[in-house]
Amino acid sequence: MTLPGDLPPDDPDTASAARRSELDHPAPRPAAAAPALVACWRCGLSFAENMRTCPVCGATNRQFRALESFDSDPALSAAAIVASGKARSPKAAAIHDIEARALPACFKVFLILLATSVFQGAVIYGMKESLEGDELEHSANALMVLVELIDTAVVFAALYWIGRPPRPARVSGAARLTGGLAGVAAVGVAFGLNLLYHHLLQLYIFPNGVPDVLLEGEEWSLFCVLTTIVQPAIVEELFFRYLVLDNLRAVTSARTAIWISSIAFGMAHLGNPIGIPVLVLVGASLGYLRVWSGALWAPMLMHAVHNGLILLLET
Amino acid sequence: MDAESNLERTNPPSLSSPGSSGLSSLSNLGQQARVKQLKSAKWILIIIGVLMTVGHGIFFVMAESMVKAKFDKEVKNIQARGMEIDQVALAELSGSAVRSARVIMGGMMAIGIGLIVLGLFVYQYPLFCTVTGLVIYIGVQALNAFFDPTTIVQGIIIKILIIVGLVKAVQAALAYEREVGPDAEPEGHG
Repeated sequence: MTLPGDLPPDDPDTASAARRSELDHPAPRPAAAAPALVACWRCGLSFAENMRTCPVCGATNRQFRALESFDSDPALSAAAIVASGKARSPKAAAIHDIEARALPACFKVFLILLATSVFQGAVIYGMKESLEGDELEHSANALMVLVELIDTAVVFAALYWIGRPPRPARVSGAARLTGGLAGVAAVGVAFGLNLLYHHLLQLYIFPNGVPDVLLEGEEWSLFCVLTTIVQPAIVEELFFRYLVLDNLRAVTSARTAIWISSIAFGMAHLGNPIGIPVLVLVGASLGYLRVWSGALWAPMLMHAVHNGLILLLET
Repeated sequence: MDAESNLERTNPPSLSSPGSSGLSSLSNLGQQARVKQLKSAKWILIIIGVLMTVGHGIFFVMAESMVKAKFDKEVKNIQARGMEIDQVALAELSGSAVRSARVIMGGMMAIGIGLIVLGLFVYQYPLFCTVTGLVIYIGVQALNAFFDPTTIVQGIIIKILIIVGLVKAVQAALAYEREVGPDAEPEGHG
């Protein structure tokens, strides 16, 4: 019998028997220490230090530390942390993060967007009392640029602060194409409804033209292209179809998320109160395009096309 | 069947493992608290909706007489300054003003009815109804402030209480949906 600490037996037969015994019954490996938690610099979620990217927002782990026992399988380290009771599962943590941080932040941004519109309306109301003609138009344009710059800064700051929403399940190429085409058709239908609605309004209610509260320019100029087509297409889509819609999709169904984001989109157009009902429909069609095509550039492009066609018809 | 009693009778899937009755009862207590907040949201939405519908309904009916009174006052002011008024243009302007007022009042009544409907369906679609109710309520207040900024401070305490109630209802709805799961729907096209 060989006791622990004994020298290996000199007898070759006894030594080979001991080696065979070791191979048949390997000694248990010492338990590897679970990796420590680090906080994501972008979304704030806690995850294992040996994961190269954040499991929720995909940001690079700046405090990455390789751990021999866990490096082969990142899921293993996440599972180890969950098993150790230190953290929620990545999915539960992501949902908690969205409910506790992303959605309230989206709500605050929505309030800020409304507040800037109210500010714009109040200033224009005051300007109408004291200015007229070209002076009024130039002042209204300058105010619009200021408000759109503030909105752009707020949305980009929110994008940085909230971080990327969770990526929805990937859609196959063919489904993306058909979904994209269906979404484009939906936007086309919404555009048609928009025209019909305004035509009926002009026919029966406002024979002298639907009132333009914000005194928006109606001529085909670089200024109008930037303020009416480019800025809304990028900033509104980044906020309503990316931050709001994609974060809501993580906690509820896609359909509910689309309609909530489109109602918020409609209500954000305070300067066009008569158009809110059709803007909700336009927002919903852009939301379906976003979900069906899986691409953000598609609703951005269609939003720009929609606004461009409206501007073209008005001029 | 009453939706509320139906919801209260529904046992949400327990988060705890079978046999851990402590956690299960905690979960049920949590759901009861959420149902209570959803109930508050239901009545907030219905009351605001009824007030908006009735209030703007009255203005809708009285729009013609109100616009006429306003126009008469302006006409008297102008005539007092010795100016003449084109009666045809005045009638056209007055008619347009009445129609505009009716469109705005009709829109507000539609929003009021929408809020009532959201209140009635708050147990079936908690997250959609509470978030939409909150967005619409804040949007309407912003719309009022857009045209008349002094309305922001009118009844501000009531407005804050309503917003706090709706925000709490949204939180309850989120927690409720997390526990029972959102209405299942396949992602993607179709």
